[in-house]
Amino acid sequence: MGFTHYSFLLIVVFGALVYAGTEGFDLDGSCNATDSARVEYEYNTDVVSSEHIITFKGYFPRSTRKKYVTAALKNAGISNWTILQRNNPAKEFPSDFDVIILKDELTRALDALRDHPAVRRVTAQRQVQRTLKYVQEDNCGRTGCVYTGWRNHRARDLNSLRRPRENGFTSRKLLRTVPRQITSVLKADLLWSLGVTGEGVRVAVFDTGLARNHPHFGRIRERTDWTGENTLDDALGHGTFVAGVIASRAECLGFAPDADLHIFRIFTDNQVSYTSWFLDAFNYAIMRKIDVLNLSIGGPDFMDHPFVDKVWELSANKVIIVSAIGNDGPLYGTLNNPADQMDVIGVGGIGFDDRIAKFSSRGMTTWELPSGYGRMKPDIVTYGSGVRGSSVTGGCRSLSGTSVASPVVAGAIALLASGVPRQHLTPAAVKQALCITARRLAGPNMFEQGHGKLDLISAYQFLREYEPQASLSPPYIDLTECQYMWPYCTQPLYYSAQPTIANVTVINGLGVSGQVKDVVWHPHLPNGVLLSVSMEYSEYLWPWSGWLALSFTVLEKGVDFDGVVEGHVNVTIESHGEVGEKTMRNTTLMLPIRARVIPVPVRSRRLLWDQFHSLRYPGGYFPRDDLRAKHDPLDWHADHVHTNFRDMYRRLREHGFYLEVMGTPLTCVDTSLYGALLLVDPEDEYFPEEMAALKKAVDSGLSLVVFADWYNASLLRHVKFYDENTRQWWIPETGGANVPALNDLLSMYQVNTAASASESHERDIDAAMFSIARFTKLIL
Amino acid sequence: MLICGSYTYINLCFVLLNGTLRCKMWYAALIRFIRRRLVLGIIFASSLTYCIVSFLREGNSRNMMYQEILIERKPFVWRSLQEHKGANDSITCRNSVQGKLLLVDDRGYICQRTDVMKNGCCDPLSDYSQRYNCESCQDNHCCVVYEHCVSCCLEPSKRDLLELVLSKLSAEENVLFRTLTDDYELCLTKCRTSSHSVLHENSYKDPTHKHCFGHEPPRSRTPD
Repeated sequence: MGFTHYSFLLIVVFGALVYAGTEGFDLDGSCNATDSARVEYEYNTDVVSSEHIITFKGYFPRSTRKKYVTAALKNAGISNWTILQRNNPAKEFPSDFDVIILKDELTRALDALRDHPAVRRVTAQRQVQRTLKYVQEDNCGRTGCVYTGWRNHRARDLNSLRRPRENGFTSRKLLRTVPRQITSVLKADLLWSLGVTGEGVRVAVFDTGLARNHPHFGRIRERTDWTGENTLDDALGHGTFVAGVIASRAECLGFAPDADLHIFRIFTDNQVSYTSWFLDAFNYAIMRKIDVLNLSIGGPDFMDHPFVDKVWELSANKVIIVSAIGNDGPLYGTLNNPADQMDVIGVGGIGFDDRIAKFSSRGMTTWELPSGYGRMKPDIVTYGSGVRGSSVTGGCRSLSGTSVASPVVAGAIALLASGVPRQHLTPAAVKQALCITARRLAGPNMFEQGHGKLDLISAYQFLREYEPQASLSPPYIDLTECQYMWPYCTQPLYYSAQPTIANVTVINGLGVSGQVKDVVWHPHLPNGVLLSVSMEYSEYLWPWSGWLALSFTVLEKGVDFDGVVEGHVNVTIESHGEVGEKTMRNTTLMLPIRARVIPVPVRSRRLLWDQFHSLRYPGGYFPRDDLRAKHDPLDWHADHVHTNFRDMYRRLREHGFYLEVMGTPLTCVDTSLYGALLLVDPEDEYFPEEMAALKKAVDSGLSLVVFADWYNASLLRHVKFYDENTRQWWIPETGGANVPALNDLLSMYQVNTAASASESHERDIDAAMFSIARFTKLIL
Repeated sequence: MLICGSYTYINLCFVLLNGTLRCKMWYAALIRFIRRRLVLGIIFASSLTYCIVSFLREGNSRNMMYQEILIERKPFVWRSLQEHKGANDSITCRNSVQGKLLLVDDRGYICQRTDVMKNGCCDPLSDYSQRYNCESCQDNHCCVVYEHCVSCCLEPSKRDLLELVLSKLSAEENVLFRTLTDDYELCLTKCRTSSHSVLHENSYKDPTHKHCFGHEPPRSRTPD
């Protein structure tokens, strides 16, 4: 079954002949050209060689299907075969497929089967294996952990992994002694001494279960199984550890030893889980009136509407949800759902050295692309590396991962919840308490650390004296503040640029449902008037939260201005308060704004990045750009200059280029302002109007830079797979990039890229830049 | 098992020390010992006992409840029979808490958030309050709006349907429904989207009418 696979890095540069300016893309000075490497892509490792799936053209009972197979193989003279018995509840019903085990004469038998009139197709049986981000310590090398197996694409994973150490050795530093108890690092013992121990707080742990008589736990109120595996015990250790961090009362202590634990076993021993299990379990959690719910799980699929809606429903029912942001760092744009939802407290991981853990997912959310801009997440960070917690055998062990950071926060919430008045316990109030009191780390930007590091004692004091209020996250927009306000601080505003968008989350502690009534921009004199701010906001603040998007553009009178502009935005929020209140609660929040404005750069320095034709989390199956990443065949990263293409962004900025993001069709943009249009890894197709506009633009001086990825028709047929989570076949819609669409676009220049593909393996920024330079120079 | 195991061991020994007299003697003595009727009897009896015990244990565990709930269980009560009586101010209501704009109380009144009184009840005198509102519901008992579903479900004429639903659920030993205490909780829970609402795990069978209280799941909008 050895296929020949090519992965194509396709670089086409279209330079306009009347290219203005003499600077061009002068990049070769610092960018070393790297030889493109060859992809060694072995696909057949997952194929069970002797087994094949016969798909019939209809649903037949078992005996009929056997008759068909017998007839087909008898004619070919093959006798050495068996049909795999599937002993499941569906066996009594007609089915449209069988799994056959062929011992010899494989090709002849397969041909004979395919020829049979009742057979639709015969395909190789694939072993689809799912792994969690949970790797044995000894599997982890210096470069981190390697996933084994094939992670089902829409699946949710348990966010935990063990690594021996965090950041390699970059420089010599004093190694701090790692404290024995995570609880004493966060000063939980101070609250314990006040008699606050988590008593009366119902904490739900959605995980792999927990043993009945584990010596570390005292108050397990119930254990329920939602997997149908007929066991409540934890075979993996993940659930035990998570529950231990929250409520262990022996050896390695948890935060809230007297909290009532509700254990939901939602992952099987093979780490399988389905949305439908979650829905039923979540319903039960609502009925049980759970206070704090820990989800040390995550997955890329924020388009899973039943799941996302259900999480909202939980929040609306006053369940405080804490979830792990994901272990897909240090790549940007890798946030996991449900932690990336506005109503959920998304937790990232740091080490005991107060540096962001390498594994912790980061970058803005990608829901809002291409026309909007992502929200700030995670909300807070806390220790998630080398934390000690309960082991499944009764002792203690050390684990790392955002799965660990999440129960640290959930346990902390359970602890403070028992020490504050009950009516202060709403998802919004708790989130505000954690975020407003969090301590900011020096260095990481807001898309890495959120509001900063959890401060348990300050959060406790805040929540004790809580007055219902609304707040904004982030609380101010200073587009000049580096490093925290990255990437805003790296590129100033100027007249005629595409709008710079800041997406602020409104956390509404006044009530579960509210509305943004009014948003007004108040420029500060003398220069604030040069800035125009337009607002969009969610219709309802429900549950407890909503978004507010601010687009900044410089007005024409600021075309030559060089300096800082200031102002503030007033946001008026109206909300239903407690039940029984006839009047609405009102509040006005102030959001200070500061930005740096420069005169308009020359045309040749301005690049336009096409975001519009790059898909965010896809509705269909778009295979990954890097075919070696077999554990996760689906490309779920929305390509953006501020997420997974941030290295490219950084390089281009270093070389004095200004990058603007185009979130609208090509026809809506004045292309005569730009030196070049970057089409990087597009998945979507181009409208005829756009093609015409592009042709006109190129004719009048726009350069076109196309970066594409692999596309190979035969490979596309082979990367289809059966997804156990959605129980259907997934057939790719296009390759790493939509090369046919690009060919359509470029056909007007008689350029066809498919044949001129070169072998390469990844988007190597240096190589790519070198090529641009070379091409541009050739053309110039 | 045991017999087979010892033979293997002996064979192994035989192969390893093949030809040495000592092993042969030991081997012959062992064979003689095993061939004694008493020893064979003991082996047989213990295997049989083990077999029976494990079979029984398997049988037991099949009927065992695999959910462990330490919270005391209350019996199911049909609240609609014991109507709220008396003046409005002497009663308290539970309501559906979650709604964006609407709430439904345990008497079946649906109202706007602003029309909820201090006791948690909908103000029945308010213009928009309605009892047993089935406005967005279809004949398969699936509704667009969650609050309509709950309100409609509480209508006394739906009692027979609910009893059927409840008996079906108790037959399944569904943990979610074993903990219900009355018809309001049944309606609140039944109307939520659940495992019966999804197609391919990541989309709704019917994206609009997704809140159902009947015994049939929502009709699938997309062909399977």
